[in-house]
Amino acid sequence: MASSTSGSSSSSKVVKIRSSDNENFEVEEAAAARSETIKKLLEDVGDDADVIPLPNVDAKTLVKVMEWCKKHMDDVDELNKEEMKTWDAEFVDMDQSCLYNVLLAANFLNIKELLDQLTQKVADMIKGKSPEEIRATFNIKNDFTPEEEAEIRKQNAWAFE
Amino acid sequence: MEKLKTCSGHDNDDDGIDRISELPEDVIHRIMKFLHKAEDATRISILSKKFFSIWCSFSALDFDFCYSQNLNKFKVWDTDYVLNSIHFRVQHRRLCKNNKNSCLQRLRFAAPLHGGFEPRQ
Repeated sequence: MASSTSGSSSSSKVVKIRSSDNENFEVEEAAAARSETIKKLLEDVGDDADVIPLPNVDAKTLVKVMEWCKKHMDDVDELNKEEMKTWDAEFVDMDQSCLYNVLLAANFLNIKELLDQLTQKVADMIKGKSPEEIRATFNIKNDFTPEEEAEIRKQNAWAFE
Repeated sequence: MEKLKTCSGHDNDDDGIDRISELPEDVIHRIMKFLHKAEDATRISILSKKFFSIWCSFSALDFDFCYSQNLNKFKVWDTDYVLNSIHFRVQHRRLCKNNKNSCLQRLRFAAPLHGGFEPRQ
Protein backbone atom coordinates (compact mmCIF):
# COMPACT_ATOMS: atom_id res chain seq x y z
CA MET A 1 0.00 0.00 0.00
CA ALA A 2 1.33 3.36 -0.91
CA SER A 3 0.97 6.04 1.65
CA SER A 4 1.37 9.72 1.45
CA THR A 5 3.11 10.84 4.59
CA SER A 6 2.12 14.01 6.31
CA GLY A 7 4.24 17.11 6.14
CA SER A 8 5.84 19.36 8.67
CA SER A 9 3.35 19.91 11.44
CA SER A 10 3.11 16.80 13.60
CA SER A 11 -0.03 17.91 15.40
CA SER A 12 -2.26 18.09 12.33
CA LYS A 13 -4.95 15.53 11.85
CA VAL A 14 -4.57 12.88 9.18
CA VAL A 15 -7.40 11.46 7.11
CA LYS A 16 -7.47 8.35 4.97
CA ILE A 17 -8.74 8.46 1.43
CA ARG A 18 -9.10 5.60 -1.04
CA SER A 19 -8.70 5.78 -4.80
CA SER A 20 -10.92 4.03 -7.33
CA ASP A 21 -8.25 1.34 -7.74
CA ASN A 22 -8.23 0.70 -3.99
CA GLU A 23 -5.04 2.44 -2.96
CA ASN A 24 -5.24 4.05 0.45
CA PHE A 25 -3.59 7.37 1.21
CA GLU A 26 -3.04 9.22 4.43
CA VAL A 27 -3.25 12.93 3.94
CA GLU A 28 -3.26 15.85 6.32
CA GLU A 29 -6.83 16.95 6.82
CA ALA A 30 -5.94 20.54 5.97
CA ALA A 31 -4.67 19.38 2.57
CA ALA A 32 -7.55 17.01 1.86
CA ALA A 33 -10.04 19.70 2.83
CA ARG A 34 -8.94 21.82 -0.12
CA SER A 35 -11.41 19.55 -1.85
CA GLU A 36 -14.91 20.76 -1.05
CA THR A 37 -16.16 17.24 -1.81
CA ILE A 38 -13.86 15.62 0.76
CA LYS A 39 -14.51 18.44 3.25
CA LYS A 40 -18.24 17.82 2.98
CA LEU A 41 -17.80 14.06 3.35
CA LEU A 42 -15.63 14.59 6.44
CA GLU A 43 -18.25 16.87 7.97
CA ASP A 44 -20.95 14.31 7.25
CA VAL A 45 -19.17 11.33 8.78
CA GLY A 46 -17.43 13.25 11.57
CA ASP A 47 -14.75 11.41 13.52
CA ASP A 48 -16.23 8.04 12.69
CA ALA A 49 -14.64 8.11 9.28
CA ASP A 50 -12.40 5.20 8.55
CA VAL A 51 -11.54 5.68 4.92
CA ILE A 52 -13.11 8.18 2.53
CA PRO A 53 -13.68 6.37 -0.78
CA LEU A 54 -13.21 8.40 -3.95
CA PRO A 55 -14.68 6.14 -6.64
CA ASN A 56 -13.97 8.54 -9.51
CA VAL A 57 -10.25 9.12 -9.01
CA ASP A 58 -7.48 6.59 -9.64
CA ALA A 59 -4.33 6.42 -7.52
CA LYS A 60 -2.02 7.95 -10.10
CA THR A 61 -4.29 10.98 -10.43
CA LEU A 62 -4.96 11.23 -6.71
CA VAL A 63 -1.22 11.44 -5.99
CA LYS A 64 -0.99 14.36 -8.36
CA VAL A 65 -4.02 16.13 -6.94
CA MET A 66 -2.87 15.66 -3.35
CA GLU A 67 0.56 17.00 -4.30
CA TRP A 68 -1.22 20.21 -5.30
CA CYS A 69 -3.41 20.21 -2.18
CA LYS A 70 -0.40 19.87 0.10
CA LYS A 71 1.37 22.71 -1.61
CA HIS A 72 -1.74 24.85 -1.29
CA MET A 73 -2.62 23.72 2.21
CA ASP A 74 -1.55 26.88 3.96
CA ASP A 75 -3.23 30.05 2.96
CA VAL A 76 -1.18 32.18 0.62
CA ASP A 77 1.19 34.43 2.56
CA GLU A 78 3.64 31.92 3.91
CA LEU A 79 5.13 31.02 0.61
CA ASN A 80 6.58 33.54 -1.70
CA LYS A 81 3.95 34.29 -4.31
CA GLU A 82 6.43 34.18 -7.19
CA GLU A 83 7.74 30.83 -6.05
CA MET A 84 4.16 29.54 -5.89
CA LYS A 85 3.44 30.81 -9.40
CA THR A 86 6.47 28.97 -10.73
CA TRP A 87 5.47 25.84 -8.89
CA ASP A 88 1.91 26.04 -10.23
CA ALA A 89 3.15 26.59 -13.79
CA GLU A 90 5.35 23.50 -13.52
CA PHE A 91 2.52 21.54 -11.97
CA VAL A 92 0.12 22.09 -14.86
CA ASP A 93 2.83 21.27 -17.42
CA MET A 94 1.76 17.66 -17.98
CA ASP A 95 0.75 15.51 -20.91
CA GLN A 96 -2.82 15.57 -22.14
CA SER A 97 -3.75 12.23 -20.64
CA CYS A 98 -2.79 13.47 -17.16
CA LEU A 99 -4.25 16.89 -17.74
CA TYR A 100 -7.56 15.27 -18.62
CA ASN A 101 -7.56 12.99 -15.57
CA VAL A 102 -6.50 15.71 -13.15
CA LEU A 103 -9.12 18.07 -14.63
CA LEU A 104 -11.88 15.52 -14.10
CA ALA A 105 -10.61 14.83 -10.58
CA ALA A 106 -10.46 18.53 -9.70
CA ASN A 107 -14.01 18.86 -11.01
CA PHE A 108 -15.28 15.87 -9.05
CA LEU A 109 -13.37 16.82 -5.89
CA ASN A 110 -14.52 20.41 -6.30
CA ILE A 111 -11.17 22.15 -5.89
CA LYS A 112 -11.98 25.44 -7.53
CA GLU A 113 -8.52 26.99 -7.58
CA LEU A 114 -6.96 23.89 -9.12
CA LEU A 115 -9.79 23.67 -11.64
CA ASP A 116 -9.14 27.29 -12.60
CA GLN A 117 -5.43 26.63 -13.07
CA LEU A 118 -6.08 23.59 -15.25
CA THR A 119 -8.80 25.17 -17.38
CA GLN A 120 -6.57 28.22 -17.80
CA LYS A 121 -3.82 25.86 -19.02
CA VAL A 122 -6.14 24.30 -21.63
CA ALA A 123 -7.32 27.78 -22.68
CA ASP A 124 -3.68 28.79 -23.19
CA MET A 125 -3.29 25.80 -25.52
CA ILE A 126 -6.23 27.11 -27.59
CA LYS A 127 -5.50 30.85 -27.67
CA GLY A 128 -4.45 32.33 -30.99
CA LYS A 129 -4.74 29.02 -32.86
CA SER A 130 -6.75 28.41 -36.01
CA PRO A 131 -9.54 25.80 -35.83
CA GLU A 132 -7.31 23.37 -37.75
CA GLU A 133 -4.49 23.87 -35.26
CA ILE A 134 -6.85 23.39 -32.29
CA ARG A 135 -8.20 20.16 -33.80
CA ALA A 136 -4.66 18.90 -34.37
CA THR A 137 -3.58 19.80 -30.82
CA PHE A 138 -6.42 17.88 -29.20
CA ASN A 139 -7.11 15.24 -31.89
CA ILE A 140 -10.64 16.54 -32.41
CA LYS A 141 -12.43 14.97 -35.36
CA ASN A 142 -14.25 17.42 -37.59
CA ASP A 143 -17.67 15.79 -38.12
CA PHE A 144 -19.30 18.67 -39.99
CA THR A 145 -20.21 18.31 -43.63
CA PRO A 146 -18.36 20.87 -45.79
CA GLU A 147 -21.67 22.72 -46.20
CA GLU A 148 -22.33 22.90 -42.46
CA GLU A 149 -18.82 24.10 -41.77
CA ALA A 150 -19.03 26.70 -44.53
CA GLU A 151 -22.29 28.06 -43.08
CA ILE A 152 -20.84 28.50 -39.56
CA ARG A 153 -17.70 30.06 -40.99
CA LYS A 154 -19.77 32.45 -43.06
CA GLN A 155 -21.89 33.51 -40.11
CA ASN A 156 -18.85 34.00 -37.89
CA ALA A 157 -16.51 35.23 -40.60
CA TRP A 158 -15.22 38.04 -38.38
CA ALA A 159 -13.59 35.46 -36.10
CA PHE A 160 -11.90 33.55 -38.90
CA GLU A 161 -10.41 36.28 -41.05
CA MET B 1 7.65 4.11 0.78
CA GLU B 2 6.69 2.75 -2.55
CA LYS B 3 6.82 5.43 -5.15
CA LEU B 4 3.65 5.39 -7.20
CA LYS B 5 3.89 6.22 -10.83
CA THR B 6 2.44 9.66 -11.14
CA CYS B 7 1.49 12.11 -13.85
CA SER B 8 4.41 14.01 -15.27
CA GLY B 9 6.23 14.77 -18.43
CA HIS B 10 4.82 14.47 -21.91
CA ASP B 11 5.05 10.77 -22.67
CA ASN B 12 1.59 10.42 -24.13
CA ASP B 13 1.13 13.62 -26.04
CA ASP B 14 0.96 11.98 -29.45
CA ASP B 15 -1.32 9.07 -28.70
CA GLY B 16 -3.99 10.47 -31.02
CA ILE B 17 -6.80 10.26 -28.48
CA ASP B 18 -9.39 13.04 -28.33
CA ARG B 19 -9.92 13.62 -24.61
CA ILE B 20 -11.08 17.21 -24.59
CA SER B 21 -14.36 16.25 -26.29
CA GLU B 22 -15.10 13.91 -23.38
CA LEU B 23 -14.89 16.64 -20.76
CA PRO B 24 -18.20 17.65 -19.16
CA GLU B 25 -19.85 20.65 -20.77
CA ASP B 26 -19.44 22.86 -17.70
CA VAL B 27 -15.70 22.16 -17.66
CA ILE B 28 -15.41 23.20 -21.31
CA HIS B 29 -17.41 26.34 -20.48
CA ARG B 30 -14.86 27.06 -17.76
CA ILE B 31 -12.10 26.74 -20.35
CA MET B 32 -13.99 29.11 -22.65
CA LYS B 33 -14.20 31.71 -19.87
CA PHE B 34 -10.42 31.97 -20.06
CA LEU B 35 -10.57 32.64 -23.80
CA HIS B 36 -10.79 36.36 -23.36
CA LYS B 37 -10.64 37.24 -27.02
CA ALA B 38 -13.97 36.99 -28.82
CA GLU B 39 -12.43 35.29 -31.84
CA ASP B 40 -10.84 32.54 -29.73
CA ALA B 41 -14.16 31.70 -28.08
CA THR B 42 -15.99 31.84 -31.41
CA ARG B 43 -13.55 29.45 -33.11
CA ILE B 44 -14.77 26.79 -30.68
CA SER B 45 -17.98 26.69 -32.74
CA ILE B 46 -16.30 25.21 -35.80
CA LEU B 47 -14.27 22.41 -34.21
CA SER B 48 -16.97 19.74 -34.29
CA LYS B 49 -20.72 19.27 -33.76
CA LYS B 50 -20.16 18.66 -30.08
CA PHE B 51 -18.19 21.88 -29.67
CA PHE B 52 -20.78 23.77 -31.70
CA SER B 53 -23.44 22.68 -29.23
CA ILE B 54 -21.23 23.65 -26.27
CA TRP B 55 -20.56 27.03 -27.89
CA CYS B 56 -24.31 27.55 -28.37
CA SER B 57 -25.03 27.09 -24.67
CA PHE B 58 -22.13 29.24 -23.46
CA SER B 59 -23.21 32.01 -21.11
CA ALA B 60 -21.28 34.84 -22.78
CA LEU B 61 -22.03 36.41 -26.13
CA ASP B 62 -18.98 38.18 -27.36
CA PHE B 63 -18.83 39.90 -30.73
CA ASP B 64 -15.76 41.77 -31.83
CA PHE B 65 -15.99 42.69 -35.47
CA CYS B 66 -12.99 44.97 -35.11
CA TYR B 67 -10.70 41.98 -35.16
CA SER B 68 -8.96 40.86 -38.30
CA GLN B 69 -5.92 38.67 -37.90
CA ASN B 70 -4.97 38.11 -41.50
CA LEU B 71 -5.69 41.60 -42.70
CA ASN B 72 -3.92 42.87 -39.61
CA LYS B 73 -6.01 45.99 -39.80
CA PHE B 74 -9.33 47.48 -38.94
CA LYS B 75 -12.07 46.17 -41.17
CA VAL B 76 -15.43 47.83 -41.68
CA TRP B 77 -18.41 45.51 -41.88
CA ASP B 78 -21.74 45.78 -43.59
CA THR B 79 -24.46 46.42 -41.02
CA ASP B 80 -26.75 43.75 -42.47
CA TYR B 81 -24.01 41.16 -42.26
CA VAL B 82 -23.29 42.03 -38.63
CA LEU B 83 -26.97 41.82 -37.67
CA ASN B 84 -27.31 38.46 -39.43
CA SER B 85 -24.27 37.14 -37.66
CA ILE B 86 -25.66 38.16 -34.27
CA HIS B 87 -29.03 36.71 -35.20
CA PHE B 88 -27.36 33.39 -36.06
CA ARG B 89 -25.65 33.31 -32.66
CA VAL B 90 -28.72 34.30 -30.65
CA GLN B 91 -30.97 31.93 -32.57
CA HIS B 92 -28.71 28.94 -31.94
CA ARG B 93 -28.42 29.83 -28.30
CA ARG B 94 -32.20 29.94 -28.05
CA LEU B 95 -32.61 26.60 -29.85
CA CYS B 96 -29.90 24.92 -27.84
CA LYS B 97 -31.29 22.12 -25.72
CA ASN B 98 -28.74 22.63 -22.95
CA ASN B 99 -29.23 26.30 -22.28
CA LYS B 100 -32.03 26.10 -19.75
CA ASN B 101 -29.60 26.35 -16.87
CA SER B 102 -27.30 28.89 -18.38
CA CYS B 103 -28.51 32.46 -18.07
CA LEU B 104 -26.73 34.97 -20.22
CA GLN B 105 -23.95 36.36 -18.08
CA ARG B 106 -22.18 38.67 -20.45
CA LEU B 107 -22.87 40.45 -23.68
CA ARG B 108 -20.13 42.36 -25.42
CA PHE B 109 -20.32 43.92 -28.81
CA ALA B 110 -17.86 45.95 -30.85
CA ALA B 111 -18.18 46.70 -34.54
CA PRO B 112 -17.19 49.34 -37.02
CA LEU B 113 -20.20 49.59 -39.31
CA HIS B 114 -21.22 51.06 -42.58
CA GLY B 115 -24.51 50.94 -44.44
CA GLY B 116 -28.04 51.72 -43.32
CA PHE B 117 -29.84 50.15 -40.43
CA GLU B 118 -32.40 48.03 -42.23
CA PRO B 119 -33.05 44.82 -40.34
CA ARG B 120 -34.44 42.08 -42.49
CA GLN B 121 -37.86 40.60 -41.92
